Amino acid sequence: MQLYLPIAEWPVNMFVVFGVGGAVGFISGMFGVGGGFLLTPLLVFSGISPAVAVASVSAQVVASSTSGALSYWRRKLIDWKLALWLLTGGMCGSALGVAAFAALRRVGQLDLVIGICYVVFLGFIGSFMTWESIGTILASRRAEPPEPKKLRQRTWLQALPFHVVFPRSRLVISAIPVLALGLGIGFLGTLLGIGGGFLIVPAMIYLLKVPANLVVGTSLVQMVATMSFATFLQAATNHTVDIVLAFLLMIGGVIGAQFGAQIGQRLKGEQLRALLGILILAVGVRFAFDLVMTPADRYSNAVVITGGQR
Amino acid sequence: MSPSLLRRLGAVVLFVAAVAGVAGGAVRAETLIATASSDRIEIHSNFSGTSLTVYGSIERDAGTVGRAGAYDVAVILMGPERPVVTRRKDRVVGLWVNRDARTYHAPSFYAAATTRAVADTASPQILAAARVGIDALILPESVPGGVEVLAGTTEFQNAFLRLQRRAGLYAEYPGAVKLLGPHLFSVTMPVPAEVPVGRYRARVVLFGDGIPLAEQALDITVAKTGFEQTVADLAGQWPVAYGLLSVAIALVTGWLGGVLFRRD
Repeated sequence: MQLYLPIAEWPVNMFVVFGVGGAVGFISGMFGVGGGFLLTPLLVFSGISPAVAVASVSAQVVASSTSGALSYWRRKLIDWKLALWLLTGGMCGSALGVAAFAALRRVGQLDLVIGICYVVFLGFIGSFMTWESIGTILASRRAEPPEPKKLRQRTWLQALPFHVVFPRSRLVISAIPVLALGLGIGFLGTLLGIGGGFLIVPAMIYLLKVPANLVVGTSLVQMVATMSFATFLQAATNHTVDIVLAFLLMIGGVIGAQFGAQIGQRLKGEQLRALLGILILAVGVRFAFDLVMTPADRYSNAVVITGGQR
Repeated sequence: MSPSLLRRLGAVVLFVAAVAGVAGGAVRAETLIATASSDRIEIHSNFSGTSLTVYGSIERDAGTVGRAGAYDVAVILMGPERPVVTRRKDRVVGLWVNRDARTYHAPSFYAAATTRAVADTASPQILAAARVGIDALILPESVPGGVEVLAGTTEFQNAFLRLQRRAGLYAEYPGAVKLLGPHLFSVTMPVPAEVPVGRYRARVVLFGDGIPLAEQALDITVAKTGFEQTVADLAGQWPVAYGLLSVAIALVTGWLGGVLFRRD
């Protein structure tokens, strides 16, 4: 069934969008990630303009992280104070991201910057995740106990001023890396149309040393707030949030996530991480190809944006 | 004497004959009466393209001398003007990057239907003057920095037209205008789903022996309706409210999903 998207000004097959949302929801439920890094490229490849895709996926990320955050809230696995500090940085980053997004689109370099960011971040995280999890799988095959992780001393982080106490996480750390992390994730998330869970979760574990059981819930709260702000700003300044598209993706995503979560529970942690790592790497490689390979057509047309109007 | 000059001379002779025939009463020998199947194309939620039929008749004064050749009719549907930037990628340290660009102020939509191939209808000069066919489009071009040049870059112009054709926004339909008997004509033009909204103009141009004889213009509106219009208006006119509403919908959907599929 064809459905005309009012903001994207593009007819789509309703079931295809629903299916894409469901498939990405399945993956997000299985691996416990938002899935924005898959959803935005898929929408762009299917003909929706990057501007509308990025902004509409922000709204979808709000919905999927709200479901997740609620579940962690019920289990009381959220460090609210840490979340508040992160989302303060996140909202500033989000505002910068929306401004950078509009500026890059005006000069015609948005696709290039999005492509490079995808290659760099997905490539880096994907390789690291694949490498680390395959190592763990091989070690367990040889029936060796996994090597205890060496906790490197981060004296430079400790040396920073403005210490803040986070009682729930039993942490005393400088406010600077917390705000900076929120800022960076908010900026990238808004610019790339991703929640950034696959970036913030490792950063919270390895950089801030937040206890593992609090990391996901806390990062989800920061994601709900940051991406809500991003959605609002994209709608108010760039007029690019297609709520019909976003709503279809949300419904598909919520349902798909249920099935994904059931499959995910049957797999071991390192198996999940290996699969997710390969998936992230594959998306990164796909973007690298587009940047390097000679395009089929070197020319492209784009409607000039005048003022606030699209 | 060139053939086109001959044709023009022929037209003058016919014109004089026509004037003489009605004793100086009529200024033009032929007139057009045309109308469209609808003056409004509505984009609703399951819009996947439509078609527009334009039909009419060629009225001829009683005294007009009959023509040797048949008439040619061109029907042109033009969308509102909107600036489009055409960019070219070049290789920069191994990566393909948008470098050079040109901006065109051109119709957002252009479809030309004719009785025969556009080139057979009239000479290129006459087609250009009558603005019939994609090749007759005037494309004011500006280079980055905003300097407007009238003699555009052929390479960019060709790329612009090629991409607009591929996107379904520019099209020519030779042979689509059917002559139903000596005086009646009709054309059904496809309107793709990607059609931009706005005020359109349909021009009907009558050619006789390669000379434009009469022209009529019709106003057509392409607009979103119902739910599509409500959403687009809200997003365009009350962006703050629309932004808050979008966030609210996302939060409620997420909350509902969390409650309905509660696993713990």
